[in-house]
Amino acid sequence: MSNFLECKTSVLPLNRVGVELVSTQSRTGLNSSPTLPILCFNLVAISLLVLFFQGVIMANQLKSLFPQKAKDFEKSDQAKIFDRKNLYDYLDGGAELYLAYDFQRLVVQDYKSGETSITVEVYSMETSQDAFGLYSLDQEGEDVQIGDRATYGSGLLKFWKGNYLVRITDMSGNDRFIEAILDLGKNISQNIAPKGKPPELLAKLPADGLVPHSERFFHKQIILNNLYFLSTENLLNLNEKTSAVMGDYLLGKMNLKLLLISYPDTSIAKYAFENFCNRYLKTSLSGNRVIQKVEEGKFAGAELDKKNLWLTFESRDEKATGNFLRNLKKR
Amino acid sequence: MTRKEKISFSRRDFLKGTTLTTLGVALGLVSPEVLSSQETKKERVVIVRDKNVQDADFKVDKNIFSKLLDTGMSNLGGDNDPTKVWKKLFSSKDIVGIKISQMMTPTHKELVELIFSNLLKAGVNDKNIYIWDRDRVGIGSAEMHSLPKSLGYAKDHFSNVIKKSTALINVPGMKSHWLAGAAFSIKNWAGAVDNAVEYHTEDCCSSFGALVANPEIKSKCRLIILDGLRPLFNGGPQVDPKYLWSYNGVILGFDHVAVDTVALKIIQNKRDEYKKEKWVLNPPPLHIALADTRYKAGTSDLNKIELIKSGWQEGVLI
Repeated sequence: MSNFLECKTSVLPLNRVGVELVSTQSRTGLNSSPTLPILCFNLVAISLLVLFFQGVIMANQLKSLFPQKAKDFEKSDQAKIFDRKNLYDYLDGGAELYLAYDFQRLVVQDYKSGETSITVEVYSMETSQDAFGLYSLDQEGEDVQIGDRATYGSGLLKFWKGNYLVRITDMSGNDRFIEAILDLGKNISQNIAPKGKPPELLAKLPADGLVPHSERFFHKQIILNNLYFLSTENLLNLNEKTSAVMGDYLLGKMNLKLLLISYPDTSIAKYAFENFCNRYLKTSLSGNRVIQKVEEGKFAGAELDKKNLWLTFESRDEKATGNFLRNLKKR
Repeated sequence: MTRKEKISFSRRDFLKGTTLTTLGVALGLVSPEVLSSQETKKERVVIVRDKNVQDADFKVDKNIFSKLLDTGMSNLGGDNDPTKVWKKLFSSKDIVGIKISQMMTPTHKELVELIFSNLLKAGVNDKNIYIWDRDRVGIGSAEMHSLPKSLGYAKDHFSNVIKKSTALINVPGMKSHWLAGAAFSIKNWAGAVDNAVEYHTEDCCSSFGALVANPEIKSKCRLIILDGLRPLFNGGPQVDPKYLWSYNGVILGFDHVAVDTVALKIIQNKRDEYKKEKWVLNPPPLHIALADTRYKAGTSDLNKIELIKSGWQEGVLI
């Protein structure tokens, strides 16, 4: 963390500059009675400088996570840094995925050994819940003991720790550099101090029958449609104020997908429930639970429970879906 | 039809196959028999592959790649001499813009070099060949990889390279895409405007077709060469390497929608093969079918596509 400490000391002159700006104006006599516009200008200038240096500190913090080398691989080139404004420069068409969570910054660092390279991406999020959310979208691979949770497969290590999501990739798609990749991952993980806290909503998913690594956490419609396309329209009124968890279930011979959405209040939840029943299930409401036969001989279900809306998809058994929904409400 | 007009399309519509039927057929959800069998002029799409065009470390054999491209151009233009086909399409009077992709699964450099050498053979002046992605531009062979220049965008949001060009070649990568379903030749034009964010919408990016229907592109784009050496069949644009596979081919055509429909069928079949069950793209790439039905930019009906396949046939997936 030496870079971080170096950077912290560099903030001190900034504060002095801020003070100096104000006092210089006093000396010129222009502000013997300071006017509001000048004061505002100074405040804006100071705020911008503080924001700028906060960004520098954060970027240096992120850069300090990277070790100089791992096995035969050494850092090559300068790390590239992206924020919410320029993430498109790195991930055109992919940036929206990260912006759908509370993404703050990304640092990309290449490591080289001869002509081969490994790319490390460290995504910093505002909350550990959102870092978990991003991680949860693709948990395929073998479990490895790195960070709060990690998987490795075919040259890609992904892990979540604290407010960070880390991806380490060898594009060959094989395991030729697995040792270097895992070594890098362990080093980076050790440099991230606090452990993360998974979203509380996750605990509401029943454990019985939950397919391992199938649980997802998200907020917005574009993520839902990537996991399970429902509609081009936002029928469930998903947005940054909603939290949702989704999991795949194997219950005896029955598969289904379970989606739980938590809304800010009961009226919004009710509106979403009614909208879904009317416009997707195309059925009239009678109570807080609906099960409707849809295409391919499958059943979709919905149950409103105060601020929470439970939904099931892909079930082939109407009765079992009803029982499943009924038991959910008891949780 | 304006770019921002909203579409209402649900999973249930999709499974019924009553709306955007051609998409349902391409994804294997609807029988091809539901499509019209009327005899009409068919759009030609060419697939050409070679098992040895890249080695186990994905190093491209440029000699094999050159022959592969020659075969593709001959088949596309219906002439045994590929140079004649290039000359039919481009001349010394042209300023040619080559739109590549540099994102995540980038267009192979070897393909860019081969296109350059063929354009030169067709008589196009080296300094009249622009290669670009977003606002990184190279002029002439000396800058074809470094793309050191920036030419900016016009008021209508299109790249100034498009404005300068008399002819365009679209050379995208081939990948699935988490927000648009799939990203082939139509979506590649999102890298030619400065308001791409307006097309990356939560309705499955339904309006990409507006780009290819725009006269700036529709009237100038003379050739599409989809780089299918190592496509991505899940996720994207960010790559999980386990979902890359060596298809070892290119797909050529003149009609964006037809090329993308063929590419979509291949990606969907690869997904089904991988999972050993139907594994439909999420979200569905509505923009391909809508480029046909809404924007009239080409055909998404497989029955109206004349598909010519040559070279390595194992695993061609269509």
